[in-house]
Amino acid sequence: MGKLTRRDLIKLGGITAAGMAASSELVRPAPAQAALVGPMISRQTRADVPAAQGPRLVVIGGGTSGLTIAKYAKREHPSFDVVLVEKRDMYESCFTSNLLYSDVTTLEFNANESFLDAAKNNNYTYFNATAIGLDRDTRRVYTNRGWLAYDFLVIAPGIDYDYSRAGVNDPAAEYMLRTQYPGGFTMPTEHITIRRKVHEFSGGVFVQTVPGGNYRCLPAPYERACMIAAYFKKNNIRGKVLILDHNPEITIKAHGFHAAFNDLYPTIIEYKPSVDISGIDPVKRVITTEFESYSFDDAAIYPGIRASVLIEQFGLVDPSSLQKEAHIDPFKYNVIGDERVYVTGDSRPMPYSKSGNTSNSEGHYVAKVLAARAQGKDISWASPETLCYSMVEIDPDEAISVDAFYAYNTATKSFGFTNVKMDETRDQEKGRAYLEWAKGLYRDMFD
Amino acid sequence: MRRRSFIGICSAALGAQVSARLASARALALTPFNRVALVDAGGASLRVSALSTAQAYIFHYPYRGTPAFLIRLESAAAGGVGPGNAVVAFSAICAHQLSHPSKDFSPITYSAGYSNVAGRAGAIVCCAHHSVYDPAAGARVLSGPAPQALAAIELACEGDCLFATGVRGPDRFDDFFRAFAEDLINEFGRGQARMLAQGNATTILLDRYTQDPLHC
Repeated sequence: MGKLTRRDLIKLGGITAAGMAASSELVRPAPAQAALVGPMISRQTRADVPAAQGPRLVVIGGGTSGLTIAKYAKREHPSFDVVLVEKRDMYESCFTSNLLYSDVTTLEFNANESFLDAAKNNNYTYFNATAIGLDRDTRRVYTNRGWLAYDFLVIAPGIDYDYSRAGVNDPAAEYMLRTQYPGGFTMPTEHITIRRKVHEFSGGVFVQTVPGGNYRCLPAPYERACMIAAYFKKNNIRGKVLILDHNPEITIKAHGFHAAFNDLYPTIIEYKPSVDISGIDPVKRVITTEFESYSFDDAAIYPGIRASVLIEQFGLVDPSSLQKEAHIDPFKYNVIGDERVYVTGDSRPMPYSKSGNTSNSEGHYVAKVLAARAQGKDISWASPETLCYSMVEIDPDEAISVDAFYAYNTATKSFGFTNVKMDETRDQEKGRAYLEWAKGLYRDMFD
Repeated sequence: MRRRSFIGICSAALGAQVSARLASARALALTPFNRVALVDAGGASLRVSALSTAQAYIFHYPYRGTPAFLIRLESAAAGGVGPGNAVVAFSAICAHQLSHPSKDFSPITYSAGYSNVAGRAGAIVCCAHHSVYDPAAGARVLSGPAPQALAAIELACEGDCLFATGVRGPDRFDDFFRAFAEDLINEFGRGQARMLAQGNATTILLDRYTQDPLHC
């Protein structure tokens, strides 16, 4: 065991005391905070990974963003010594998970990839650990399995739910919702739970909520409603899918989804826009707004989202971000004032779609940024691409799609869509392209 | 037909013709592979003058398991051979994320007619991620996420016969073999897909090779 230093104790104490800690400044807690709970006793030693053979790039997060960057940063700049820190020991993709619920795909389709293979195929190190602290002064990332020094750090931890956005502030109620009516947009285990719910549904009302804000995968709640309705229809389940949408209209591919609701599931799907949820009682199974209440027999509650709590714990939140996203250069992704640390994927503050294709294409660009900066160079900005299919029918499988890029408006200093190709006529060609789209992403991340 | 006699017939035709290549196509490095004659499903020589312009043909080159498009365009193409220098061939493995034709399915196709994704006619389009390539210009990327052109298959036209002789430009063959190792075992047999093509390569229309070509 390595020697435990006072600095390490303080750092861990800071995380405990501050709860939601902190940047390099905030990990050193005020004496009063430390005295309140005392330092957590833990020996922080150097992580047991091979010694760096070149500039070390640590990537936190083995989702679409982190996997893409780990692979392509190494390809762009082979002298990088890349370590991917991922807390999961099994991969399962969030994209295409809605297709599990209607048996268009199986779990094997989503989870037939290995972090071990990704690391071997692409010459980097997979470190199965959970990031818990960051010291940007000494350039160390702390994990539950020791610390890693970095030359460059990419933080790609994804999202967390924000139940307060659905009027739920009681921790017990939030826990019940997280575990009994999960949203299906963070942990793989949520997908298994939702699939079981759908397949075991005996009739009544199944609620799918849609949050406001820039939530992960805009079309996904509507696609899921179609997949659940298709399953009900195919299996003669006397159920209704009630979509309670915070937004005044379907947020994307509205024409294609409305057509599917009306043509395919007119007696199954009921769509209610502008539903501003003020509270949810998971025991009585009632969702309330200022004016109305909705009872449900089962549900997938998608509350609001925020950037991963890790961004807050590392003291990297943009104060102006309603979703607690990171304070980064919107073109180069580095933390403001620190060209060693980058935040990518769904914790970014830019208003891009929080979706797989966006993170994958963004990852290719960020890999080039890292390679350039490691060599004292620079590259020009490239937009991510949001190519997104939504399945709306099964047997035969039919999908709709959108393909879009982003442009920066220097007058308004904001990003907006550009070169948008909306294809809202459902057909089998897009249904088949959808599955190949996902397989391509898996190949791009793992092979 | 034995290979020797086949070549003999081909050589007896109009005489050797080597296309003038455009400078841009010539600039890419050529990796020579086996000289392989393109033949139809019955093993007879593929007649260049009878090739359809309506859709692409599939053959496997430079390995037994790597699919390639043979395309006869309506007009001259960079690197084209045959009548009007309009016949070209490219690896059918998408340079983006390796989508390719298999017997069950082909997400990547050549659309002689209009493609919504390409916004034009006469393009090679991968429907999975919308990479679009121009077969008349060395399969350079017209739009979409592909980072590079499709690898070009070097053709030689002798009389009315076609031969594949090499690969020009960067390819994705190693990535392809790794990503599809199990699928290739199932389709071609263990250890077969990586063997070099030699002798003849069966060349058939895409819609006869695959059950399900996508158009987008």
